[in-house]
Amino acid sequence: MIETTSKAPEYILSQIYYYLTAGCNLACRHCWLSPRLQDSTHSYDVLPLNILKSTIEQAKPMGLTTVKLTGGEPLMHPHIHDILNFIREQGLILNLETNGVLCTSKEAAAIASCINPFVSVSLDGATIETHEKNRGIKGCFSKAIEGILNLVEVGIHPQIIMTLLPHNISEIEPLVHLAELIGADSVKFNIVQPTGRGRTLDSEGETLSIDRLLTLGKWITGTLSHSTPLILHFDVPSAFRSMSEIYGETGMGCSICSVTQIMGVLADGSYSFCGIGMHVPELVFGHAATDSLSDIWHHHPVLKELREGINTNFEGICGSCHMKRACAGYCIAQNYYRSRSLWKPFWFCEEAYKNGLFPPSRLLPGAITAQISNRKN
Amino acid sequence: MNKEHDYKLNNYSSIGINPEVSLQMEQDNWGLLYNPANDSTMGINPESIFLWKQLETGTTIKHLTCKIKETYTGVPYDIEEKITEVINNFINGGFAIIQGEDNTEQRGEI
Repeated sequence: MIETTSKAPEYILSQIYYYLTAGCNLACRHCWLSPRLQDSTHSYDVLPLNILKSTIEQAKPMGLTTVKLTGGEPLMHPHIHDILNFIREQGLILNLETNGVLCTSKEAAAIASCINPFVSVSLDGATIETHEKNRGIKGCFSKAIEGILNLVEVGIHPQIIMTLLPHNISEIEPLVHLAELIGADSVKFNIVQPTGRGRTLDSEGETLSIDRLLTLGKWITGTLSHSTPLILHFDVPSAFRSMSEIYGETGMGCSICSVTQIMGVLADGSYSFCGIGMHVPELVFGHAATDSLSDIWHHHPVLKELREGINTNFEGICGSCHMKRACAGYCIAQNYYRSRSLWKPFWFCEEAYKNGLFPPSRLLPGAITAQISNRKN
Repeated sequence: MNKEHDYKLNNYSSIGINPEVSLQMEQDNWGLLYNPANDSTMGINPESIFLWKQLETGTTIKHLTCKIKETYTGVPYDIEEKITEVINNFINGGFAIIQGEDNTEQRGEI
């Protein structure tokens, strides 16, 4: 039995997301961060090593247990081995998001030397054509597969992340089988967020409808998951996932926006919720070279507003959802990006509700009637 | 804790549901309890739903333990503790209330 009501919260900084590089070696069509393409003639900011070290040292007494390295592409960072060594020496858990292209056996060994490394690698198709159509760079499919095999060789069974798009959904099942074959542990299916390049894709009608996504999700979790030993995770707000899928014995927990427990550090050393500071200047809270992490964490007005309102202030469908405290708006950064308010609802839930697709059992009594009325109109 | 009375939960406490609370069933046989008074929701599994249904007519931990043993096979030896934990969660969230002591059970009259 799980209570979805939150207890009196303690705002521990448990995790820092480091956006190590402002550039990326791939040009993914859906990327919400839209880093610029880095090649032999163009290079962009990378997070200085001393800033990473100093922020970790400041954050440990504040409860830091886990470090997420992302990008851009974290393995492009020129000091990635020093970074991994430092994380290991500090006894922190490593979470790494990579496209796998630069994951040689040397990188894989360094990752494996860290504590409980959790690695996710993006694969948007089971074939070269499909993956590379989305990732924009020739040759990246075979390199990503090689990267995954290097990880498996040192005992890391990564999670594969597939972003669902109209052109790749026919490869969902083949991708799951490929993931099995190469030694992955799980496959996570992401929806495109209408932010950054994802926004362009969305406005051009190159994303999947809510209806189609929900149908796919049902098939993935209800049918496909029974044909594979891998864990399949369809990443949508908790309102759209069954209670047993969330809280059951093999449940994967709720998909909650963890913004009250994380801090993002961008490649230029700025502090933000997560990577959203790259798009929204008012969500940059300060700079790691000049501002104390503790001061920002405890006193920044945006973080104070967030903590004061997170149990009561959600609006629209998020305010009328049974899962609101187990979901916290799903992604407050996305919600802010779209509305310039911390409390506006998540776009997916809002659209689903407008279209009569929001699960009625997750709606508070008044909202059920309203959804029925929406559907009739 | 029960706000209206000062009863403490024991095996013979008479426990009932808070009448304002609604149970919403889901397709996977889990359910959601919703207490409008404090706008709180609790997700409950099928076993907890079974307990909840017993509470609808008022019951005790002792009676619930017997009922579970009658209904399910392979019941763990510490079932009474597990039931107490679930009931405590119901009470602490304002979903259930302690109505008093059931003295008939203590006297062995059932």
